[in-house]
Amino acid sequence: MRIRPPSAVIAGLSAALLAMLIGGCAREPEVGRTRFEAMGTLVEVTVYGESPETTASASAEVEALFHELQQRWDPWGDGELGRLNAAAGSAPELPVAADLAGLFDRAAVISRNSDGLFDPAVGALIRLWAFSSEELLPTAPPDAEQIQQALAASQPLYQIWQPATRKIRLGPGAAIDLGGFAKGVAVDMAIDLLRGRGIDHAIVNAGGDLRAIGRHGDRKWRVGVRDPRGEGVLAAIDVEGDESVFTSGDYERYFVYQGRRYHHIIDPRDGYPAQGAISVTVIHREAGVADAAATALFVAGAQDWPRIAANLGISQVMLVDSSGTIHMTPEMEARTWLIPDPKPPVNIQRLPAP
Amino acid sequence: MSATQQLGMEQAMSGTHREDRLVAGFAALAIAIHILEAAFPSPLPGIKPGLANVITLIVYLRHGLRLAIWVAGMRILVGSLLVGTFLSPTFLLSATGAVAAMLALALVGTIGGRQVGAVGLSVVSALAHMSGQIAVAYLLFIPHPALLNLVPVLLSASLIFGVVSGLIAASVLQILSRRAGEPG
Amino acid sequence: MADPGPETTREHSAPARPLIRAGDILIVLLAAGLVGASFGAFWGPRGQGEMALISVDRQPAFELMLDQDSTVDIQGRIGTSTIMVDGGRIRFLDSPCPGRYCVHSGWLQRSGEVAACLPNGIVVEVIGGEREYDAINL
Repeated sequence: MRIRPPSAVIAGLSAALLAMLIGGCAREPEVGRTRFEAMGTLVEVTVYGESPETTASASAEVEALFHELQQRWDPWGDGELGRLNAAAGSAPELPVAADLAGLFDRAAVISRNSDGLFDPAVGALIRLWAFSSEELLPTAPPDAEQIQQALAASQPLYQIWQPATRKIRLGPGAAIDLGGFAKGVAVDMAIDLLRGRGIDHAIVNAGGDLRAIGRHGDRKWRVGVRDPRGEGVLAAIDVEGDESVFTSGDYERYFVYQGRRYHHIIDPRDGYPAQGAISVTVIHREAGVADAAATALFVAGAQDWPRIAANLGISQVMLVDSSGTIHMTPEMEARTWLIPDPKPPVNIQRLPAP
Repeated sequence: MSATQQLGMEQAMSGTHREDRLVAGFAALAIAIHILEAAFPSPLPGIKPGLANVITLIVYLRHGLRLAIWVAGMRILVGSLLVGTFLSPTFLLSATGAVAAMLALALVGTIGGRQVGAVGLSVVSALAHMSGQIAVAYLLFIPHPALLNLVPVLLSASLIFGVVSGLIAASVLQILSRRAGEPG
Repeated sequence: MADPGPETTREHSAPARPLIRAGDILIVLLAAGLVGASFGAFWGPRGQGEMALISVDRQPAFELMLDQDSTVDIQGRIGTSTIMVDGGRIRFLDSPCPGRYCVHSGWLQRSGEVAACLPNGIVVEVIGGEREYDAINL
């Protein structure tokens, strides 16, 4: 028996490997990034693999979209939502325009499934805390009495919203504030806009919360979740295809009064900042759902979040509680790379059946 | 055919047979080492020092590039079939490592000629093997932060391993060539 | 193993085989250098930015090198923001905005990290170096 190695095959394989290695070492093509201010935050549009002209014009359209939505959904401006809130209590039922109605439909479902922990109908309460304002100075918590009044005037969205008739029972002193959902929906619409322009690889990042489609060339998009108490990165997540990553944290907007930290995620049940967690990260396809879910799960806290996540149809959650322990679903743990060394304490939590 | 010609043909054939048996023996040894290595844990899943490359090196220096490729190929295929990792991620890692090592061996061996011996070739081969595995792992399997931190450590280990195994291979080659009656 | 026999005595013109040759030493030295360099390349703080780009009112205004400690006052829309560079990092030290969220963002160090004082119209972005993350979620 003569052994004759197929040298042609070997040569071919070697050439292929060499080509791969050389190709891998080539410089990455440029990624186009555009930044603008909207909805009270910095929005960054990242596009991979398109010409600068395409990137620039698509980003300009995204910016225009954000500004338009901001005006339309400003709870206290003169857009659709602002006018609705101004008319609160003027009639037992108020009609709501089509696109706002669509938003209410979706928000109401999430509100009900989260047991009201996510509730856009506490706009009066949110306004008291003034975190969204640019003029008012949130340095001290509102009066307890004011908080009680605002709570008394508000009813959960899923109770006052009538999807069938497209009417809402908005009583005097009540208001709808879509913060905690509006940003996500805007990101969803921006992604649709980019897709409509033929762009398949992009990230729309609104103040750190983002939806990513496609990938960064031959690697996935790399997202870092900020450490809620440090300034480094707590977790690295590789994202591709079509995914949103939204984080709610107590370190983004807050003030300290008499040694206590008051942050901007208000628990609709008692009117005060929620205490059960210091940050929650949610991964889900739609950004609007991810946005609302991150808020709801933050309010739910370290004890109750699995139940709420299951009811919301969310499977990838990372919650950091006040002791620094990281709670994750198995699906989240599988794709998350924790950065700090030594590793922080981790608790893997399976979700109950919804 | 004359008696001399007949004798010559027989000698040629038995020389080939002997060569085949040797190569088969080397391949079997390489496969055995491959299986042993699979049983050992490593800091990152699937990334191995590539002990069997020593065999490849010896075959290359004694019998040339073609047979070395053959032995390496046998080792990868049969070894992975026996261990049960054929076409798995581990297979991809070890195959890439072996191919990279082979390329490096051929390149440096051809360019260096007689100036380069077992030690130099072993170092080049070991580093190429490890680099190949790291590249595949980075591109396909393992999230970046941990792997990048380990790269210098893995490369250092490969360097040391390359020197040591090169010395061993050089000694083995000396013994083999003395046994066969070659000078040196 | 069959005996070669007189007809097949091989001619050997190959020189003696030393254990280590000149080329080997060269290779080992080169390899050691390469491996040493990999420590520098992979063990330094990764993604470290080289400088910060300061934008005022959406226009890039100037750059600050992160390897030079400095403190800079910048005039914005509503007042003066103070920016500090220290030990390869940069941050808002003070700002006239109500919420001071820019100050809350803390130290920026990685390429791509951004902090902004929106009411004052000032954005600080770390650039240069290798960008490790496409986005930081916060």
